Amino acid sequence: MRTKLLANLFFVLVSFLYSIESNAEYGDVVLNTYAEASGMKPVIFPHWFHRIRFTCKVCHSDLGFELKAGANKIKMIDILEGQFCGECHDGETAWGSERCDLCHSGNSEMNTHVERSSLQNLLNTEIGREPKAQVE
Amino acid sequence: MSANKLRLVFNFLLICFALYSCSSVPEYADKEENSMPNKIGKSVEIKQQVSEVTDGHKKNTDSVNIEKENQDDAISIINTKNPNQFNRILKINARSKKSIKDDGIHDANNPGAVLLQNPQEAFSDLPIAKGGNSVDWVKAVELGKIKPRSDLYNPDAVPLVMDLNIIREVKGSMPDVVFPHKQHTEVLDCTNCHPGIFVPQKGANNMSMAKNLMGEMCGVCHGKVAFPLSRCTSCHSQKKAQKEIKQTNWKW
Repeated sequence: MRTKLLANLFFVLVSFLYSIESNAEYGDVVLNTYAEASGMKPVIFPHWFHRIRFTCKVCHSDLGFELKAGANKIKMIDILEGQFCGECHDGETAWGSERCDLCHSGNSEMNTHVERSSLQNLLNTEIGREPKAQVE
Repeated sequence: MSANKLRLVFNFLLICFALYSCSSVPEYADKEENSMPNKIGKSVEIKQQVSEVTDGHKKNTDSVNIEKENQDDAISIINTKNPNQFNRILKINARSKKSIKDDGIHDANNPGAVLLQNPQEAFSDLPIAKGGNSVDWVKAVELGKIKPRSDLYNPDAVPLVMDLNIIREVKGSMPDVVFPHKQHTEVLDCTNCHPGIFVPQKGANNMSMAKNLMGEMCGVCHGKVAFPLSRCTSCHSQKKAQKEIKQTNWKW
């Protein structure tokens, strides 16, 4: 009986997950390499906002960002030192690192992935999140 | 009631709740096309008249209720467009009308989310394209709607543009792929692609759509940030050279 109950509970949980829909913008990157392990919400990087202001090469060549979500092992100390995001997010060009909630603005329990990417569509269409086992 | 029965009832309720939460209806067709106020209004009026006439005859309350339900069904059918419409289950690619707080990835309880810009506000003046952000980014730059800087500190920096088209003959029946260096060098450095992703040598890169879909080769950007792979003809844009069919003279 207990196992049945547990199974039902699991079913409810899974159905909850399925009922979550993502209306996120194409290219939004969810970054959760260190965030939640360190007690912060995942970071959401909106590609659309940044590409209006800068060409790809500014970040992906000059600032040294890899062309793969999660490939840059960026920690807050790097940003505080003025590397990566910290090059602009210094409190003058863009908001500084004291505005935690503006970057760490994601829902909890999301893995690092690019929203609405073709790979994500292949792996998972409905949940809107990448499964734990990522294809390398 | 015994404990077992209670558990059964509880299980039943759980399953009901689970089914209910499963049946969340996604937004399918866009509302603008659906809402044809005049037509729907008229049909509803007619329906109401019909139901009034039938009410004139003495009928059981149950049958009236059923009729009302049927009427509601009829209205809902009228409301939904042609059942044989295109993209019946596909979500419309139109720009998301939801605010950033309700987009499914942002934490709605985050006080900072109010300060973040909504994409539809930023895209309001930009040319429309199919798929992705529904924005034609290349055209937006050409039209001067956006002026992305190619240097962090120097707003007037000019990118080093190379105008060279590479034509890749594809194995299948699709048209050949034309790769324009111009549009790519306007936003990217040579080192972004060469030699890490593409070896700058003819025939040295083994590409396939499967690789692109998995986020390799062109798929490093296309299908993630740049226009998605569903826009086939944006790349497969050159008609294949008609191969000469060798005619053999059969001798019997």
